[in-house]
Amino acid sequence: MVIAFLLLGCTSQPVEDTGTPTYTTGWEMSPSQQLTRASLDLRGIRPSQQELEAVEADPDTLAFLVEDFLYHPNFGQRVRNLFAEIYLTRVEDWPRSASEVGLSDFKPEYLASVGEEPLHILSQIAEENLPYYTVATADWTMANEVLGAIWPVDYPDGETGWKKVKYTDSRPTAGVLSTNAMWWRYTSTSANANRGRANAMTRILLCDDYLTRSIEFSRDVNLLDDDAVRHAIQTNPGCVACHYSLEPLSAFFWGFFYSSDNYDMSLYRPEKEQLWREYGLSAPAYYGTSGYNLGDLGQMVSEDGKLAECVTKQVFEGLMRRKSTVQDSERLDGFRRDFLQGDQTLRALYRSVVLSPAYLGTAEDGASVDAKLIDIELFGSQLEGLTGYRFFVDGYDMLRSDDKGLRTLGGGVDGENNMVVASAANSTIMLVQQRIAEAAARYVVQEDFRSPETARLLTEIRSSATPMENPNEFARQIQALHLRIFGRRVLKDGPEVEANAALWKQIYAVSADSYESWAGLLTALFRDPDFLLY
Amino acid sequence: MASRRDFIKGAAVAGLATQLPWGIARASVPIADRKFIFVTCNGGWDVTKAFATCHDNPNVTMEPGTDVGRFGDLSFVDHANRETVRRFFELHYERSLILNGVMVPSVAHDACRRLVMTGSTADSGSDWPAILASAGAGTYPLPHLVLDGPSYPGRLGTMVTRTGGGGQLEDLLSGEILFDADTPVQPLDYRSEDLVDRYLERRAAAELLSAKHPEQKRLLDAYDQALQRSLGLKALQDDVDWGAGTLFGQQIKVGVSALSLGISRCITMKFQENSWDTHTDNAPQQSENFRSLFNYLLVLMDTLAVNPGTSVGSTLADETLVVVVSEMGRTPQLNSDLGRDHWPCTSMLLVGPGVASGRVIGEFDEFFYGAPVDPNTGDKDNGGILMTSANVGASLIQLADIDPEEFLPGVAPIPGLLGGG
Repeated sequence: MVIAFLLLGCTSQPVEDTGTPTYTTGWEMSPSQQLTRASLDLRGIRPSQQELEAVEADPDTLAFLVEDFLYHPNFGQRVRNLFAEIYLTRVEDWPRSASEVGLSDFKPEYLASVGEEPLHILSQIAEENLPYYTVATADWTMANEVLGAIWPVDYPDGETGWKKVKYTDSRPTAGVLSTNAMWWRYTSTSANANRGRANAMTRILLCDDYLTRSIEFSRDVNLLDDDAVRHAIQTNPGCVACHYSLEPLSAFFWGFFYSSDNYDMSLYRPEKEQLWREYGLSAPAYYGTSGYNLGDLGQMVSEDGKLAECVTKQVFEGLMRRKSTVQDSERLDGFRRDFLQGDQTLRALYRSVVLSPAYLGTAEDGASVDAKLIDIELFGSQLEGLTGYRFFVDGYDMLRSDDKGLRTLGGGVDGENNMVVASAANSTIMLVQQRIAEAAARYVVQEDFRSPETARLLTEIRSSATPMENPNEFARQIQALHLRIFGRRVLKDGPEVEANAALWKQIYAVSADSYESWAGLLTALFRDPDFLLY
Repeated sequence: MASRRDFIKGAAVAGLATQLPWGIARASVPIADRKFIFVTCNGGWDVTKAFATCHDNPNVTMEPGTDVGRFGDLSFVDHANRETVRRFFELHYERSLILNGVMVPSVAHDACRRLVMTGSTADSGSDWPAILASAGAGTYPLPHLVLDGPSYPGRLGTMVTRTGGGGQLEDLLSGEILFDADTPVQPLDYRSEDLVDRYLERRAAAELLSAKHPEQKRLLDAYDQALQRSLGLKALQDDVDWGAGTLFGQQIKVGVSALSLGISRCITMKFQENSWDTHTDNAPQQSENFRSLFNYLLVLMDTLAVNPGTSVGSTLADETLVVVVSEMGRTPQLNSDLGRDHWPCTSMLLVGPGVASGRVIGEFDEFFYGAPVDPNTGDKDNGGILMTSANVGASLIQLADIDPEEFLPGVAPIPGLLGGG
């Protein structure tokens, strides 16, 4: 057995470990930790030294800084990441492959683009301060040059990047509900008759997932008899409970019905909107109010109070990284009020949650202030913010891909085999973090020592300096790193400096290379529990 | 001169093994501590191709040319085009248990996939392999190894290790992945890497000691365990071909290695060659899928049989229960495209110790629902229970000496399903 072999059969010895001293930080929501939490959640990066100093001097500054964060260029990305866990459109298995849409040479770009369409609509709504209900009514969509090349949209020739565009195939306008990405992700068949799509809509926009309801398949119903099934759906209590509302919702989606394998799936077909008649199904209606096409559906969704209730819950749960409970009812009501009074903008909602006692750990009702594990997206973005390094291989963003990348190994969601972001570390998450941390550390050490005038992290020390010969310079650098990386001030003769110096020296002892020592130390700091929990 | 491999193992000897929760000798693993392989067939299989012998049921369209095959008390669907099915049961009927008429109460892929592996649609539920693995958490470095397919760890996330579909784990372990980067960088020297790991061990221990909030403790504990497991994984990097890939034959190789080396208690694999979701042209696709699946199951059983088990004189085949599932069944009649649509009743195949093998439990009634069974005997009983995926899961959990009530409150196991080995 391997373990036995490990215990008995190996003669090679590890590097001598002289028992590096360590230290503890404790978990508390100090003003700087509150600032760090808000900064990471709203813009994906750690606060700057100036921002930390500002809240240290006056904790009330936090509200002003949160306002800045809400207008940071990264805010849209954070909105997309939060809703990606709900929309589950960041899959890599699309009904049309890159080669089938003529993009054989751009597979990474294709896989990374399709599922982003509805998410970019959401971030655009957030960034433009449009009312959230635009998500179901917008007469525009979002496309980049990849989607512009394969879908019927008026994407400007020769340009690149995500832009507001319009579909040109006469489809009804209903925000995310009339996007190709949504219905490429949630396909249907004639037998399913768009019920899965209707459920995707209610789950995503109304927080009502029919599939979580207990289904009792009545043995009184002969599922083999189409007429009996149709009758049961309308009369059998066990069926009616869901199908009474689900069937009419499903009827809105026939324009996206792809009838054969060779079908041009980029096009919406208005002429198919009435196919529900042909199949003898219910007419389109939204909980009792009849409609005609997706435009009507979007309008009715936008006027439904459940839309605001749902997005409030989604943003709260996304930012708190936990499910809401009945104890949260009152605070959810408060967030929703702020949202409605704030012109229904996502910024108003995010602001309300992020400045709430529950989020900042000052709730008087004793609501738990749980530490959160950073997800793979946040791990990547804060490392990028600190070091400038982002891990790509052959054009694939390794933290956002599973085709070649590390997304699910790192605890992320692929929308198929992994549906929920990891809430605690496991062995492969640790390995992913290790290698990404090493890469970022190695990169920033090389860059900082090569160009000290633009250094990002190693701002206080020369490449030739060592803690043995230049202890003060070294201590200053460690202090600066802790402030920049953890948002904490440490003493120059404190345990953090001592522990970090010891590790640096140990690595130097085996490598005789200060670059290696700094890369090792930075790797340790990037993998530190204090960096991963916030 | 010591290699990187020697060094890492040396590190495990000198620094890690004594701290690892599974560092105690493998010989002490009790016989009751069974191993499990879950094979998932995503898409929904047509059980009339292999398990559901409904030839006398006028409501079920059986494929022409099929017959009822029988070895001992185990009956199956026999067809000349799927000789591997016959071959498999011929060789392994005494170890095999077919469950027919198991209700997975939904007809949507995502919901059924979760239901068949957790018994619930709640996203907080843990799947069977994670639960079974959790009972071996102190014994196995990587309690639940997911080679491919769905994983619903719930609160047992620290049990799970994924290998990735493109050899990512191997490259992560070696550090080679950094050389492939578009902006290539070097990984740390292995000695530096080891020093960093040990520094983090101490940091985790210190933080754990000072943690006050329960959630912080949980997260730090998970961090500590995950760190230990990642160190164990590094020590084992050359013992298993982690980069083998996700073709099913490769999954078998890696999965059996992991069981054989005492690395894992549960393995999740996915068999996927062609689509199982056959709304059109059902027969040839399902037929080929089953032919190939059983061909690989023959290989799997052979491989288990030639690898020694934990107990002296036993093989992995004696210790490993193979559970083969698909998230749903398919309609008993063909649709207008000669396909079959989704159906909430399905079959499962269990092969190995601990189950009442050599027979079929459950059947499909005239409308292709599951017929009730006596939970104690597994025999048909109109006053009995309707088997659901949750009942089956509770039984598997009980098989590993875990109280099902802890994970599936109110869900009764099926005692008649257990027994043997």
